[in-house]
Amino acid sequence: MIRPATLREAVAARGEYRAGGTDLLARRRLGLHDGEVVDLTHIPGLAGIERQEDGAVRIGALTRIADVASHPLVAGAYPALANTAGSLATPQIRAVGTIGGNLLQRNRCPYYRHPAFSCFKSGGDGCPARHGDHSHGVIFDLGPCVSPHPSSIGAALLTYEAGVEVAGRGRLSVADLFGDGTDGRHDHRLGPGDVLVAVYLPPPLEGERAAYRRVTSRALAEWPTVEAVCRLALDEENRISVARVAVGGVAPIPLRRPEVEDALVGVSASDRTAIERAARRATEGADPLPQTSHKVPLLEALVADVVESAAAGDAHTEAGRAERGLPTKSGRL
Amino acid sequence: MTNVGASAGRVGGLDRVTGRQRYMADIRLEDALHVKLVTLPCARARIVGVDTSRAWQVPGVRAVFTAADLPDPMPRYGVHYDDRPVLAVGETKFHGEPVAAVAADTLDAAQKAAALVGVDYEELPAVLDVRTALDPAAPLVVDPELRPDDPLAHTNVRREFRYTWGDPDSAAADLVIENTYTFPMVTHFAIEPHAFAVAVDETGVTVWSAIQHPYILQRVMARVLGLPWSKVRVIAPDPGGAFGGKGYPKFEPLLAYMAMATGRPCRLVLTLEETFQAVRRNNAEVRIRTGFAADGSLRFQDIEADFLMGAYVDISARVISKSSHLAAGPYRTPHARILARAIHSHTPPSTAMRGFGTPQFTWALEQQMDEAARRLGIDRLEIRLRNLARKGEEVVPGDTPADGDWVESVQKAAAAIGWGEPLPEGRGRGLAVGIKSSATAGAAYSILRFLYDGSVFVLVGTSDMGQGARTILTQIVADELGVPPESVNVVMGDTAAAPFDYSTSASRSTVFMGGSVLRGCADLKDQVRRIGARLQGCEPDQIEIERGIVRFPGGEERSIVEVVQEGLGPVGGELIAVGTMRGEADPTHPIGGRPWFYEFNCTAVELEVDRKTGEVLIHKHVTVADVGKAINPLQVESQDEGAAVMGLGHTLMEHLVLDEHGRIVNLGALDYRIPTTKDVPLQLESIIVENGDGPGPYGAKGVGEGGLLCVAAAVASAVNEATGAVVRDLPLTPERIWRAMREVTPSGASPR
Repeated sequence: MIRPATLREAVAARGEYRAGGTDLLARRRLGLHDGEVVDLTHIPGLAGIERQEDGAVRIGALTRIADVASHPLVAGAYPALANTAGSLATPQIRAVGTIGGNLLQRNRCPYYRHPAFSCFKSGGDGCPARHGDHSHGVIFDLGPCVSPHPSSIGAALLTYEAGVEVAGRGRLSVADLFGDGTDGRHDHRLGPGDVLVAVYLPPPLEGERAAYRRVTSRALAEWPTVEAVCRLALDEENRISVARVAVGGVAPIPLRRPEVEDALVGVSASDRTAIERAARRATEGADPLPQTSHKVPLLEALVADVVESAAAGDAHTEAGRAERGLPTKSGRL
Repeated sequence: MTNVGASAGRVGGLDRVTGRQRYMADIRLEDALHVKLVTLPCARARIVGVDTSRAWQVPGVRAVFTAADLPDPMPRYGVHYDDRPVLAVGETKFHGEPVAAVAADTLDAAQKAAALVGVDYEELPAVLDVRTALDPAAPLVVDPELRPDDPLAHTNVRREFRYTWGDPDSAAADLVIENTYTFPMVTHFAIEPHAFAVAVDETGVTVWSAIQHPYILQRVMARVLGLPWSKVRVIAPDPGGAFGGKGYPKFEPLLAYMAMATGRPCRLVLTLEETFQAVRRNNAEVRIRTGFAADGSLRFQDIEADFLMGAYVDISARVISKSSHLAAGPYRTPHARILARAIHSHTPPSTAMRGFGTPQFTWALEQQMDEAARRLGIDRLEIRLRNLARKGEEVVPGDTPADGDWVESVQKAAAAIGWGEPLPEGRGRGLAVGIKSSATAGAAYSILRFLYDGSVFVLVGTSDMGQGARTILTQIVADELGVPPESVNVVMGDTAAAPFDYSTSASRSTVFMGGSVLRGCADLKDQVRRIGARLQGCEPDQIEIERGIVRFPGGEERSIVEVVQEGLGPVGGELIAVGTMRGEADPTHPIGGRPWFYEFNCTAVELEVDRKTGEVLIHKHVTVADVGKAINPLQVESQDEGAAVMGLGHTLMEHLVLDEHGRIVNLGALDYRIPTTKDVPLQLESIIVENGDGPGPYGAKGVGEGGLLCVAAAVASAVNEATGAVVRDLPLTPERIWRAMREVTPSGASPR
């Protein structure tokens, strides 16, 4: 293992970068990675959350997911990001995994991680899920690989129009980090020597609100069947003036849904019918696989749900639900 | 406070959860070789050739075993059928079956070398489901030559079990309901993986295995190796969870041959992925036709069940024969015809798993009761109360009659869930019952060594795999002999030290081994009475012993230890007492004997279904167990809660997915979903019914499986009440529920 002490050394080092290691170590155990490891954890300045002079917030790439979820700067101004971070994986993973690692993690497709299979992502040629079990697969069939991108935080960052800083390459938008989903081999567009340094969140709009929700087949240690994030700003007549909607679990990349955003602008925050109509546009262009057709109406319903929640100022947190007497996934908050 | 009936702390519990307990994988044998299995990436393949030359070049490799290194014909073994080869010979039968094995100085070397074993193979069509297996044109999983004199040898059916009573063909019914239900392939997922080691020296063969039934392993190993039983010593460290999956021999014979060839101990710790390929529950399709009278009383059951056992029988034929015998459940069923098939397939072999075939039948049977209730306009609770056998009534003619007040259990569950009270919006309640046959025969021996200082060694062959047998046996001995629990030492898991026990299965240990230890205590007290009589010059039967106090005819009271010490004198020594509890087999009985007791359970739930997503949130889950006597109420509750949550696994999320090559796709802890701590019901209540009517010590029955039997049916019943959806295939994933809701209200996938 290479342990660079500076960013410059890290950029020069060749191997797979290790931050929290939660995914990398699992892949090494499965035999998916046996090359050199470049440990980023000894480089100072890569973790931490701070407000910039321009009002933006910088989150160091090695900031723990649990810290992202609980930091007052994030929870106050970027609640959908905080909720997303607080919902994923398990408390143990959130305590060790980092925001950078979450964005750059490899795909969760069981075929990719299965010792008996080979696929585009494991260096082979083909997608066994396409003709096999793809019940967790995409409905936006953008590339040769049918497994959805695993980064929930990626979807949340899309709604905040966040950027990332990559050593040697400067700023990229989060959308550019993931590409267009046509590359079946890679989960992001960083190459050797590209070290993700930080995430930048633009200053929040006046009075903006947001919501996040995921549908899962179990409550913990799970990637979502479908997830949706919504961020809104309302005008003085309570109409939606700015809308940002991104979804996960349905495409090879975290996917922003501009069709929904456009349809939401000008809609009254209390007009449920108009919101539902706009939400149905979330599946425009969807091309579901035989086993994922249920995700189409599920995504529409979920997008409507997060838009309504955001419009109502309901961040859809588990704690928020419990406070209002709504059922939660855990009775032991 | 007495020891029996008190919620005494778990013996060994702290060590178990803090990792101080030495699990099988923690046991390091000096000079041991590490073994890695070599498998093929498909279920069924013809093995053309195996090239071991590259594997041998890895430094530290001491053996590369193939079929050619084993006796010819290939030794085969099993508990009831000697059908499992030590290594695949000629053809693999399931994905995960080893064709070769490497032993090396280090695990790294073994893994490297295993990857370098070159197997030339030709993949062959595999039988992966019931429909294919029963197709007359299907390939045969088992070579007919291995099934001489078996009329079914040219089919994939190993056994057919038929039970009929009454006259089901001419029974009149006002309502006949016919449906097919499926129960998925699920795996045990014990936290501790399977692990084994074998050493050979001039004293014989020593086998380490985290196994539930060390004496069965001893017998099988002796048979395979041609050794007297006394030359096979099985050391069985307390398993870290078993649930039936650690009952029967797996790779111990292979390790024995490798240890003999290398002259060094050989050890193998399976990965979680390999454990998935080693054990699972029988998946099943149950077709069921049920006749009801207009008042809801059962007229007949006509049940046909296909169980997919996998490549080898293991214990599955017994799972299927025993559970199908009781397939009509805890009801008065005037007429019944039951046919159950045990079917081979090119899938990992099934074995025993908590519930032992009964959950598959209960899933079907209880949904039939619900549908009848809906169609006849009878309350779901009422239709069950109407049909439940009352204490003393037969459920299967000629078999053990109802041995508990089952109506009482059902009424307690109904009261606890608030049956009949107004339902909050969007919620539903469900209730179901289940019974499982306990052990039909068995033998449990125990040795009690009462030491000079008054402490006691208890030597038993039972395994404590987390169910708490050590605690129960300690409580019985402490109570009977009046010694503090801390001075009782229960020694388990060594066939050279502890006497025979039939098995740790069928929730039998409290009844059988508990009964054996109780008898051992009686033997010990007899010995003390004889010593007392000799010291005092009276007759033994004039002396009373209660909770460690010896009361002499004149009224003098002394402690047992004083009497024993005076009796043994300055030379010292100890008293050795023996307990025996046997239940003889009855060869005339269809399943080899009448069950000693039934495990009866009633489960009731209240839940909410998210109408947009199909997600289920269980607000309350009540499980009621009729246990006769709770020797340790906390352990009863823990067992029932564990069973309930395990039942929620196959109910809501668990199923193994196979691809067309017979490979498990969702291999591992993340892709095979079991409930997490946040998936448990918001409220989980365990209620114990104690009427002292069991055959075990103090009127106890067995416990630990009941809480799982009818979870799926209770949840499905509640989902139906909440949404109108009917699902007959498990698990009830959000997607399945969502799709079923849409069938009820086609336009209303997300009605508001």
